[in-house]
Amino acid sequence: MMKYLVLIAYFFCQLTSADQWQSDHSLSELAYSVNFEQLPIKGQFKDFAVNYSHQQQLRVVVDITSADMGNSDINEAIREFDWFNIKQHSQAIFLSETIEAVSEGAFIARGTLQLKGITKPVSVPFNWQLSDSPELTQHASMSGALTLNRSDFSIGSPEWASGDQIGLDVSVSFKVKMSSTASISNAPE
Amino acid sequence: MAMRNTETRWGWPSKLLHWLTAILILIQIPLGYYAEELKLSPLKLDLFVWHKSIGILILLLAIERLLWRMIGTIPKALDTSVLQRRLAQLAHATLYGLMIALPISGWITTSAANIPTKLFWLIELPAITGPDEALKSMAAEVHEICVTLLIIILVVHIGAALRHHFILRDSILKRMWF
Ligand code: HEM
Ligand code: HEM
Repeated sequence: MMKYLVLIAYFFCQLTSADQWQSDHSLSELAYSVNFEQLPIKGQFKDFAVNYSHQQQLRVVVDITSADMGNSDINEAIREFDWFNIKQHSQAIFLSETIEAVSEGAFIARGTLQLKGITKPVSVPFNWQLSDSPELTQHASMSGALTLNRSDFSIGSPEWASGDQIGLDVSVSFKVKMSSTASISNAPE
Repeated sequence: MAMRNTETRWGWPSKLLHWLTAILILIQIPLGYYAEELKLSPLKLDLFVWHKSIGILILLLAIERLLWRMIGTIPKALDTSVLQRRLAQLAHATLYGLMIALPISGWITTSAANIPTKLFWLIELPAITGPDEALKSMAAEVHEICVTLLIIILVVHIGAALRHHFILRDSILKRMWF
């Protein structure tokens, strides 16, 4: 119990010392990897934004049209109806409902992911590390990884539903530089 | 059956490698065209795994064959005409060249296209270049030119073999057969 309280206190101290956090686009990456005929191929979303505020929790908006898999044919294919269907669903949104501290600097954000028009509960484990900065602007780095099943979001159906050629499990990883301009106080509450 | 080649006959390793390669190449060409024409589908991806696997197998057989050829003798040419002998030599040398150039250009194409390959879904084929769209188009172009050249020479090669057998009635085809 005590340990839990300490963690909670630590968490507030870490995450709420500033009000509004947002990602620095140029220093952040959101990557994924999926099996292609049994070997992994990588992709990334070049445009995405992470926002954290104490009131709104964690909010991640991903521009699906910015997906890049380093191959022009594949890039074309994943934009089609069977895959991301970007004409109708150009954004994915993760919204946290709760954020739980697991250990020092490690958290789990539980919430929902809306992807290709389908909303499912998703837990995102992440590490949060504040960097010492004497300025008014605070910086933190946030990183983590999770595995999603693409069939949960009807991605690659129905022709590709078996997962034999393109795997069903998609590993997602992120490294995000966060900064907060509206720094209020560093004091624990 | 003799293993070593002699002045007048091919040994069984050379024969086996020749006919195995011939069968694989005659599968590989239509397979390549068919897979290429398909629209993106699970079948297309699977056929390309087959295409790449068979192609690398052809490369290995060609290297094996060239090494075997280099350490032994080869049967003497039968043709009396010097020109015909030179042409046959040129055709055979080009065929060997293509059995190397085709797999290598295909390998560069998939590597530069950033597509990984597991041969026969068993063995990972390492990439020989990093992702590079321009190099990919160039290698695919070379691959296609090699295919065209291969088809032309094979028509002549097979035509010549049949001519020797049915018109000239000499032992050229027989000495390659078992
Ligand atoms: C089914 C059709 C084919 C027939 C009837 C055929 C027939 C022959 C014959 C009779 C020879 C022996 C020539 C000699 O003894 O001087 C020969 C040699 C040769 N064939 Fe074929 N062949 C066929 C397909 C192929 C294919 C598909 C390839 C490979 C691309 C190929 C590559 C070669 C090479 C490189 C030699 C020269 C062997 C050497 O000198 O080491 N052949 N072929
Ligand atoms: C002797 C061996 C081979 C033969 C006869 C052959 C033949 C062909 C043919 C007929 C095509 C369709 C026409 C074209 O676009 O060029 C093709 C395409 C292709 N082959 Fe091969 N191939 C061989 C080996 C390989 C290998 C070893 C690989 C890869 C490891 C490979 C990869 C490809 C690729 C990626 C394409 C599609 C090219 C494109 O996107 O334009 N091939 N091949």
